[in-house]
Amino acid sequence: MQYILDACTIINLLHIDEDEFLLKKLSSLEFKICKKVYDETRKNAFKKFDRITPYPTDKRKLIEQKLNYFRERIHNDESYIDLSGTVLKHIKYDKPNGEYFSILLSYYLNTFEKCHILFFTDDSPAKEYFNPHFGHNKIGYIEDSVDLLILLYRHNQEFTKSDLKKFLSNLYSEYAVEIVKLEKEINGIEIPAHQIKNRDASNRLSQMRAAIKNLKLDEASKIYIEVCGDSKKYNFLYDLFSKYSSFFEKKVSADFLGKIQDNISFIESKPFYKYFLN
Amino acid sequence: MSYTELFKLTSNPFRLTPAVNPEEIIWAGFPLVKAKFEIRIKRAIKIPNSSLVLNWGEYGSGKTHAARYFGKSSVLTQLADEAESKIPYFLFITLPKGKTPIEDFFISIIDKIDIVQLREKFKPDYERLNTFIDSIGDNIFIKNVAKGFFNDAIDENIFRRYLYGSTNTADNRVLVEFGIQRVLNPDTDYAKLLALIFSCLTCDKLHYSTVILWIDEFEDIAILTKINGDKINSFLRELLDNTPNNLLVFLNLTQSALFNIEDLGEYISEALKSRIKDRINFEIPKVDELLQYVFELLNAYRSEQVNEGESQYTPFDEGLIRIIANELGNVSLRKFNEALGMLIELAEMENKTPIDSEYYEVNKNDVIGWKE
Repeated sequence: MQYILDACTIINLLHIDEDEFLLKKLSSLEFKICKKVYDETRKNAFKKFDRITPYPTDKRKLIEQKLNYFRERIHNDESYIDLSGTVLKHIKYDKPNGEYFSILLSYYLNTFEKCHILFFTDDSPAKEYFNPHFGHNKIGYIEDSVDLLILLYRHNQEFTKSDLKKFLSNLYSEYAVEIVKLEKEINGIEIPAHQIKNRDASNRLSQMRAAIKNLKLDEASKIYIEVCGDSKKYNFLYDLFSKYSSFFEKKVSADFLGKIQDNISFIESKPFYKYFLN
Repeated sequence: MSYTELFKLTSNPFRLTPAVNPEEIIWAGFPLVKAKFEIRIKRAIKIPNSSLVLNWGEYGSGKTHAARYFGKSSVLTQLADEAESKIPYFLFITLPKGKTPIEDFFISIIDKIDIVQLREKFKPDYERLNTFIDSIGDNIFIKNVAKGFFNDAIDENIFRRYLYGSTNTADNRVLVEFGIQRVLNPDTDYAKLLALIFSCLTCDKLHYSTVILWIDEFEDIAILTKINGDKINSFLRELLDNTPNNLLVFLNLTQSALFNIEDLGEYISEALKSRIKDRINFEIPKVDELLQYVFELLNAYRSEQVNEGESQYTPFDEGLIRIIANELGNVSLRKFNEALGMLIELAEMENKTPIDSEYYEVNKNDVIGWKE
């Protein structure tokens, strides 16, 4: 079995970790990442700090240090990129992003090292897209941060139930804080007087309010993409939504939030098997 | 033309966000909700008892507005007069969402307390206050800090720096002389100290009858990490336990994508739950309630009386308000405000008065827009 991590999972781990606890547990896991994933992590790991004043310089430094640890896990042999042509044709995917290179690496390792792959990503649409291909070709499985945390909990004696509860609730908080901030802002916004006839903007605003209220995050994401594609037309709404780019780029689904909550309650109601009791 | 010329109004009464200037904060309509708050506050003024009240409603239903309205000193003075006692000491804060909620909680309360003014007020009663402080609790250190709070022999800036945890060596030398030998510990001292200060403020109801602590956005407890949620719970529990008398806590709770009132039990401890004395619901307004609201709100903004024969809802009329209310359906007060506010802005741009149903029909798409 080979483990591969995606950028969003690494970013989540970096932000929810406390005193390098997770990082240390992760080091016992033989995992790999692609160069592209590392680059995306570097690029996006600090985005959420942009909206914090004063800018949390200390936290940024801490995360920069931790990033070095992930650099060591880059799979440097880039032969897997040669599979691009054949795999691309097979899975009909045309975005050369971190997920795509991770999939290439998965196909490569599975084909030439004859091992199963466990690919961790929190990007719900990517998971949904690649999962059937993984299953069909017997490459392995795609899981997310919740699964990874449970695995680390089960494999490490000093990882306690309350640690697991803490990290899962930290993970939930990572997403929930953003949703709540966005919800407050879209419900409290006063449409500028010169924009009250901008029907496109006010309709999208109402749609976004409804989508967030009903936790239809895929719908919210579509509205976000449309608004951010036309700053002139959507004016004040563009300014508002673009502040939440880091949230929308995570492409979180309501199911994922539900999964986190479910697993928090499983810790007591349906405990996970652990050989090392603590 | 101006609002006055067109509509006989001083400005647009249908604000979308709560006003900040106390003079602009008025209460219109919804007499039952208002009465509930008045009863709660008057009871707290009269009876020495600490309690917790939940205010529950959707976004834009008026909870924050209620906090601003009942925080006005003129409103509190009137309630105190009616209850024949002193005015309440009012504090309004938003539930902190950062990584250190207890520190943020404490700091936001300290930020709002005018130490100089309180010291001045309590100066004649300083000895009485010291005796009172000595009579409660067994934590000598906290008692010394509370005494220091009211003691004008300690420079206010030094004392503030102490509360914020940013004293220097020279400050510490001064503080030691007053029995303050160590820094405050957020987990163990903050709640105890605040509780003691609150108790002092309402000591014998000399200057204040009760402390009202109004916490907005309390629903965000659902998005805090488990540890921070637990911390907030025990902080509030300690605050209530150590302030057995004269503390009224209002918690504003908004139904949101991630929070429903039924979920509250998951986030607040049994100890806090047992302290909840009442729940004030901000329901979705009905048409008749909206009519009364519009009537009272317009009256508050009238620059001159409406002429005989004119609608009491001028520049609108009753029929139009009913149409808008029905077409909007079950919406929050803020959405209703948004629609009327937009309609009146449009009419002002186009110098249209009175605003009738024909004008509304033409601009309906702008006013109501996309509906769920």
